[in-house]
Amino acid sequence: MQTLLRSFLLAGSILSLTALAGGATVGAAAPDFTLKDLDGKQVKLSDYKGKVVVLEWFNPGCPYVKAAHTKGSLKDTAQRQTKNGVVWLAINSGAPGKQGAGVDTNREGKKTFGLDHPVLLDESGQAGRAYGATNTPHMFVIDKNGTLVYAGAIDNSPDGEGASPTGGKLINYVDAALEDVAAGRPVKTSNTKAYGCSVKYGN
Amino acid sequence: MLRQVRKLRGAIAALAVALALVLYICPSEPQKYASAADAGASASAPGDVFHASLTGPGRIAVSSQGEVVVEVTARNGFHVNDEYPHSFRPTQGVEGVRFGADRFDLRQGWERTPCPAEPDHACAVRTRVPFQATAKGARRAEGVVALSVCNPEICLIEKVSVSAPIEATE
Repeated sequence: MQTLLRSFLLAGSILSLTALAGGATVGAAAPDFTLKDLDGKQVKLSDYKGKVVVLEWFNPGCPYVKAAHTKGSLKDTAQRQTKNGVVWLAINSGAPGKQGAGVDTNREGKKTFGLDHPVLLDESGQAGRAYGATNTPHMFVIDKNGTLVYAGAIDNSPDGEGASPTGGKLINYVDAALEDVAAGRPVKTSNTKAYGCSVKYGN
Repeated sequence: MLRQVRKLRGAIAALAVALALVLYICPSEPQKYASAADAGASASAPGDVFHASLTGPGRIAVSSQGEVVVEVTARNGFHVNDEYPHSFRPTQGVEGVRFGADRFDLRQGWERTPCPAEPDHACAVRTRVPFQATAKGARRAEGVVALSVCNPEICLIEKVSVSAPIEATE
């Protein structure tokens, strides 16, 4: 009995530490989650197995998110890609009371940016930490087998507007990853450093 | 009763600060803060969390190369966002003043002044930008500074118009 309890406690500690360390790994299974959308409906990632999924860490109050959705690489990208059968989920891991958090604020943001895809609230930050989401926007692409194939920035222009691409040419990393996935080839650029506001996790 | 009044006063003050911060989260289109008559015209955010300025050499000989200095300062708990591609886009086609590029990356060779309380962050950055005076007389170097400042809670991205007088002599 004591051995069982010790094993249980050890397993629990390992899981907790893993959760704290965070950070899904490209090439490994994408962590599953169940979150509620803005209407309170539960959305489970594993329900989309067999489809390509894009996760976009989101905060409607973040100036980088605003820039990306109004002038930059997120403008119309989700709408284009969902027409190709991609599932696009925005996730807000902001804790209650933090910038951009709450149902009403996200509903307003969804309307302002013309988003057709779900915005999921992760107020505990559990999903965000499981993926190692550090910024908004922070993008993750998951293939049909549930494997994480891209993690990082939306593009190579850290002003959010697409006006300052590193190297001179604007690259939409998510579009590029989805193209590779659709062509059945390994994602050429699978990991980049995300830029933007910090995710507003709770303390 | 007194405790309740103090609590209420604190809550009102916190609400006022939060409201001021919310107003400046949105990135804005370039705004003309300074009049053309001001020397070394600069721009500040109401609420004063950042300041951007352009300072010229004053007098310069026609056809010679000079420098303007772009400075971005963060205030009141904000610091310059090192991860943002701060830039200066000069207004092209201004008579008598010619810049060699449409856009200057202000991070190239910028001088950083650390924040006293947080030396890892910069509270002021200055970059020298070359230009050429191409015609005699009183001129203005003008442009738009794209900048970002952050505090532990939020970041702001702003674009502000700046200008500086140039006196080109023979």
